[in-house]
Amino acid sequence: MERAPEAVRTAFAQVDAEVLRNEPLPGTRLWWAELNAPADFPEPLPGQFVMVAPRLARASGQLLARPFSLARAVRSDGGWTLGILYARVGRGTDLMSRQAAGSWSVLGPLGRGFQVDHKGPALLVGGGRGTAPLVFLAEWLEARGRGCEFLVGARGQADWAGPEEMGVHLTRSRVWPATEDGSRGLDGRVLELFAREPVLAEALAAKGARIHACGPHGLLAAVGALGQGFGVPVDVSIEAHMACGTGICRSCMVPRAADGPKARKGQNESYLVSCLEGPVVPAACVDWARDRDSAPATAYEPLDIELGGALA
Amino acid sequence: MSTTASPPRVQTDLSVRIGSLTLTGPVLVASGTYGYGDEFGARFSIERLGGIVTKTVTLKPRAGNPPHRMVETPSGMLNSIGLENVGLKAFIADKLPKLAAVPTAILASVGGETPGELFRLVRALEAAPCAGYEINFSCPNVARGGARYWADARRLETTTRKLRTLTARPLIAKLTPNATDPSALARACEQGGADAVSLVNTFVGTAIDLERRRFVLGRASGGLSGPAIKPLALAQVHEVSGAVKIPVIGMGGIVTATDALEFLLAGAACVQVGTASFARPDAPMRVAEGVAAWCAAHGIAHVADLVRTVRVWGEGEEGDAWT
Repeated sequence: MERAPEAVRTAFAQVDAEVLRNEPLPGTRLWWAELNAPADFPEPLPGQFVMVAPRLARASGQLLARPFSLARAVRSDGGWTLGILYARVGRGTDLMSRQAAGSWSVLGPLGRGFQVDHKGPALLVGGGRGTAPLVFLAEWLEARGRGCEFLVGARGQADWAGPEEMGVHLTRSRVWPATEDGSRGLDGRVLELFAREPVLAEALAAKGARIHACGPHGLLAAVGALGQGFGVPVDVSIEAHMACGTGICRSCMVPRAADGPKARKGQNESYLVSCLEGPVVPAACVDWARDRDSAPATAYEPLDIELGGALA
Repeated sequence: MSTTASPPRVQTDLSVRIGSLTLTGPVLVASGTYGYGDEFGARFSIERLGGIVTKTVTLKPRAGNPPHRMVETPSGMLNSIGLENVGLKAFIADKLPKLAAVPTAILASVGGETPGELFRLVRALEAAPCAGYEINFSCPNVARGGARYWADARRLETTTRKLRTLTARPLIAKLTPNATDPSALARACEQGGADAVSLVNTFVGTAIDLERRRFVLGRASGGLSGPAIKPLALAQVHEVSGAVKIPVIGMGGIVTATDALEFLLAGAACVQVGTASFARPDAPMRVAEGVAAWCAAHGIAHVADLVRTVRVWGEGEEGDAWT
């Protein structure tokens, strides 16, 4: 019987990272930030995340940092350039969008990344801004002479976040777009690509294939089911309300599947700790039926509206 | 932090006495906010802390509450963890041995649904290496044995009295702020023989997801912590410290050394840093360093000299500069 992943605690650091870029991705409702983390920031692996708090956070009464999967981590003079993709969905991300200069507090890299020891095709499936950690994974694989099939799904252009938009030019990989409004690539849901594209169906059937996915949990559940049907292992990057990012607070628990890989000694048999045993976990570990969407349903009203325009 | 006063810098005695135990400093970490104390290894200067209060241990392992367990609120957060923990057996076998190497006092937080469970826990832990106990009489997030159950002065007194017969180690009673008369609960623990009371645990609160028309938290309500509750906590610490003779361990929204020092002035003999550690894992060490630096800069000989020294306007101001 397969065992659940072990908790991962790689070296991490709390650093002040200089904001090099922080702007909307043209034509979308998404934002792209690049930060320069100093040299003492440990090397991140694809799928790992960071806890981010902009300088304005403390002054405006925001207590906690926010978790983001790294979309890029490129060695640069004196440290790392970290890429973060985000949408303004709440106060934390609203504050981030308001600070284009200075530095942000960054804690990381944290958590368990994608498992890349498979010898067959790497199939990357991203939905919306869930493409972020997969862009890092694709770039990382290419730097090691490996390509991938990168399925990029979005509701429409406003949510489109492909590798090119994040400054990553893949040469050994193929990008397969799909949008639900048909504005780009396949007119439909991203997983339909497997039925429509013989090349992808072939890759799925190849020995040693593995699917790496990130996006809304509904998509991840569907990818998990697809992988199970084809006998292909599926890694998913999950998301949950998180306070600390370091396994202490026990907030970010995601229901563990009773019929999935067995919990190890010392692990909670009912829940996965997404910051330590994840964020990347085998899809079979998650009980999707008991899972609860952590995405905010209520549209965020920016601070300047709350304050009657006082800050605008 | 401001250090405008300039008496000669002194070597402040930072030690704090709780029953038979002398803590090396007035800043501890609060239960449930630093795990079992071994998670960060040697990453931080833990020796600067007066102690670590471990995550509450119960007789049996607990899986904790269904998600969501946490939501941030203005200047604070609501949690509904539900005493998730590894249980007594694993705590003694796997967690406490690792803590032996941690260079600060280890206080075991214990929680029970009945007095009998607490007696069994303390009896079992007497043979284990920990410096004392904080009895969690105040978890707001469990169906049985939580804050509501223990907000009963008679039950607290009889339970504490029995616990007193089981251990010579320091007994700290952690109390809920969600009570009509927190001082009455504190006095009951004092009469039962507690060495100290610690407060506040979290305030009951909730958050609502408008479009889904649901409570955000899986268990509907949770406990509010963070800077949002600091004024409420300061007031309770001041009130309770005037009602009992035993030390009060203060907490509630402490993020900076200034916050910690204000709690000492309000009446806390020492403080615990909790939620701030979630925002920055080095927060408690920074608070401890800041407290030491402020005391030295202000010529404080012993940190105990600050406790409950806050005054109201008009009181003892004859010698002040502006009069």
